[in-house]
Amino acid sequence: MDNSAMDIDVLRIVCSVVLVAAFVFANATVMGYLERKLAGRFQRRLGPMEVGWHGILQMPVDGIKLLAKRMVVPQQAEGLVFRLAPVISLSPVLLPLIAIPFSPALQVVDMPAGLIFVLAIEAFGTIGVFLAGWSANNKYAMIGAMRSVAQNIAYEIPILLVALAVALKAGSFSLAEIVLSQAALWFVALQPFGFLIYLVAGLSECNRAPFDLPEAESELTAGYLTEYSGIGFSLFMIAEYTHMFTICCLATVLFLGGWHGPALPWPAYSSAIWFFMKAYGLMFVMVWVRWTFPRVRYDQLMKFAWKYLIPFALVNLLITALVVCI
Amino acid sequence: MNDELLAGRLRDAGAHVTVLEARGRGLHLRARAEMDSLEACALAVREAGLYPVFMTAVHTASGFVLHYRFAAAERDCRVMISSPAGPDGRARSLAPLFPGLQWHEREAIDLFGLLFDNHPDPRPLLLPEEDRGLHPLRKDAGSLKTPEQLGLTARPETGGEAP
Amino acid sequence: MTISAAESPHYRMHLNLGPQHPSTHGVLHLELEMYGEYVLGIETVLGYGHRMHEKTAERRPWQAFFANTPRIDYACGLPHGHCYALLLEEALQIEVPERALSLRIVSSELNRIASHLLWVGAFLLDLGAFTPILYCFDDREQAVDILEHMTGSRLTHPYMCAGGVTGDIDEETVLKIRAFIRRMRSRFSIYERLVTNNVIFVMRTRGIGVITPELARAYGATGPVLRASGVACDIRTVAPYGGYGRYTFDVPLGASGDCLDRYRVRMAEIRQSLAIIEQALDRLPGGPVRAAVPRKIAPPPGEYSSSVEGARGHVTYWAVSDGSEIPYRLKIRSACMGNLSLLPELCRGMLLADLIATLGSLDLVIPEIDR
Repeated sequence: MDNSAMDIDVLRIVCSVVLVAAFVFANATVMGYLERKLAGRFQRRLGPMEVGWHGILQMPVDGIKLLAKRMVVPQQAEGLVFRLAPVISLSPVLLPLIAIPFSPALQVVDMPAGLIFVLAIEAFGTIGVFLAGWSANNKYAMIGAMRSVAQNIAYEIPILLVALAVALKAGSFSLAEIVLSQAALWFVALQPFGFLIYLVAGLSECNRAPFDLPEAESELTAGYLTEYSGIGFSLFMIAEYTHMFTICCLATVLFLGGWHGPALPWPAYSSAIWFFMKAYGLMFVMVWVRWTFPRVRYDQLMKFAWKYLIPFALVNLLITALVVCI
Repeated sequence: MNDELLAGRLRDAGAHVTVLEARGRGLHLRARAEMDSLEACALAVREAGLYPVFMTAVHTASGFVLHYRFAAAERDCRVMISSPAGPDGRARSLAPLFPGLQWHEREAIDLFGLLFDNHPDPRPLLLPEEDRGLHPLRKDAGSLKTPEQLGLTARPETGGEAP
Repeated sequence: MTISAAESPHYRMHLNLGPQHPSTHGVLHLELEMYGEYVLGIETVLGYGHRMHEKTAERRPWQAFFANTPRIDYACGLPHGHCYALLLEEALQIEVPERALSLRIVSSELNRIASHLLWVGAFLLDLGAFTPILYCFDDREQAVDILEHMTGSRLTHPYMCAGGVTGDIDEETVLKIRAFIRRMRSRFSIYERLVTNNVIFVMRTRGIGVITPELARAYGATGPVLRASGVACDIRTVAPYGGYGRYTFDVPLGASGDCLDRYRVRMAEIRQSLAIIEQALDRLPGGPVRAAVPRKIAPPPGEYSSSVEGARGHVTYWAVSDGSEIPYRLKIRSACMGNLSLLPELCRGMLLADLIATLGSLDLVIPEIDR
């Protein structure tokens, strides 16, 4: 390998890291603002209006406030784990972004087993939540942590099963390949049940209402977040929005044809614009659901996963396999 | 069970019963019993299907007078049974018969310092543990009135007064 | 799972729910004995909001206690004032003017609607739905605005007094109330779509916290909690007071006594309250709103009592007079005490989430219990 090629590689890695990290924080800011505005719309009020035009600077200001606040570590808590947990929960939801193909050109690496990589890394997110709940040495946090582990194990399975069905259909684990194979027809048309199962399980994966049992503020005050303040709390918030985004990106890749879409007036950016429109459209659905439904109960949640989602996902996989064989 | 029948049962249980007009006193049956016959009266009330409304006491010059009030859910029937407590506020609890009276009696323990013999759980309810001896609703010796002065004794000639 | 698996104390967890907890509405403190997510036993700790209203009454003239009445149950204070006014009127043999009777009913029912709307929002918040409370507050705001106009206060309404009410209403207020009735009636479909027909809401409330009529009777539970169990216990119809006998309205009843029935009963009661207000406005008599009452009130010696139907159930005031200008003893019966006291028996073996739902469905105002 000559020097210039290596330079480009290093440059590419540095740029990707900076871009992905910057995007994660930008996404949290934008989504935080959008969620508060949308919640306002759903609830017949205005949402943030004071800081900047229509409250547009609310999230940066909140971010600065959270950064400036002291992160209180309870005396009884496992200090090291308590401080590490937010980081541990943020990195697994951040890493999948390097494998997501936002457009044919906008992908950090196209791994041959990208799908497996994304799902495997995402599953680590639970560890951060569990460590947070356990290390806080608070009973509410502990219950939240236990709920989180059980919930995430249960809902990983249907996600994996429907993703497998898509991979079968596309004949590849590479995310770019999967998008390419949907040029003619999006998989949502072939796999409507798979898409629904993915969406429901995805909501549950990122602990969003109506599946926000690890937080469950009316039962567990704030679940695993109970003792967190300042930067620790904001890292968890960023992790939640990033997780939402990752889940929606994967849904876009697997079911909504990724970057495919009618040509826009700016051909160079057309595919990326389509991708982000689809992903943020799904995020809007997530926000909508959150502000409409009450929370399900813990046993109902488990029953739903093991009795309905997993069997249906298995049937879905079986039928897909048969169709592909024929 | 109608009111007359219930009045008869209460009389059988050993209470002095006055049948009142509902208007005027917001009451139908006013029973006065001794502490010994209180449980029998409560049993009669329970058989009649009444629910407990409240329990409280009044501090008079001749000691505490307990008041238990019951009402029927689906008809207009209100019953008040009163009974003088023993010396030092000793009394028999009705909580074993009506679990709903348990908290009311605990409240009376807090506020009056009554002593219930058979109360299932005689801990303070409203006041904190360190205010055990406070008993805010006890009156000073100077301001105590006798039951006669308060009109709490049976007055058959005026008990059923019309509005 | 079976509770017997939780016999060993090693697997039990002691959990303090409250007094600072989002779902204890005020300052209720529950000490839970838990096995995982299951609640094995509940210990209720009360008294954080204790203000000793009954002692206050023994230190002040009879009329002065009107200031305390709306503060006992801050979410629905007017029935408390109504009850105390009835007690004094019975004691002093005061005839209340017709217009005052109507205004009392209008204001009490508006207060009941405001209280029920507050409850619906808070209950849905307990179940984890944040949006309904803002719709409820939007509607409640209209009722509270009217009450502010009528009574001069938004929460602790100083409206009831011996012999009538403290203020009259004008034609403009009547129009405002009629507009509120129209608006409220058009809003039920929103609640139906957002809450009543919400799958998860029904899943969370049906068959949860079933109170049998026997259990309710033993503990003295009243109000919508008892009516949801199918017992037609409403003092407004069973023993009509203050002119309620002249109005036609239904007493909504539930069938199974679960949380869903308690929600349905309260929603139906809002409709009935609207009907009562409408009837009262349709035949609002003229005349004074307050009878002539002596400045110094001294009921003859004896005991006096009155009962009304508050938003949460049976409210009774019982007073003993020694013939002087201050009460010798005043006992206040709040509905919430009976409604809450059955919780430990009701919730044994429940999931934590169901406990929160059941607790919410009882519509508790804890300071009303503490007094």
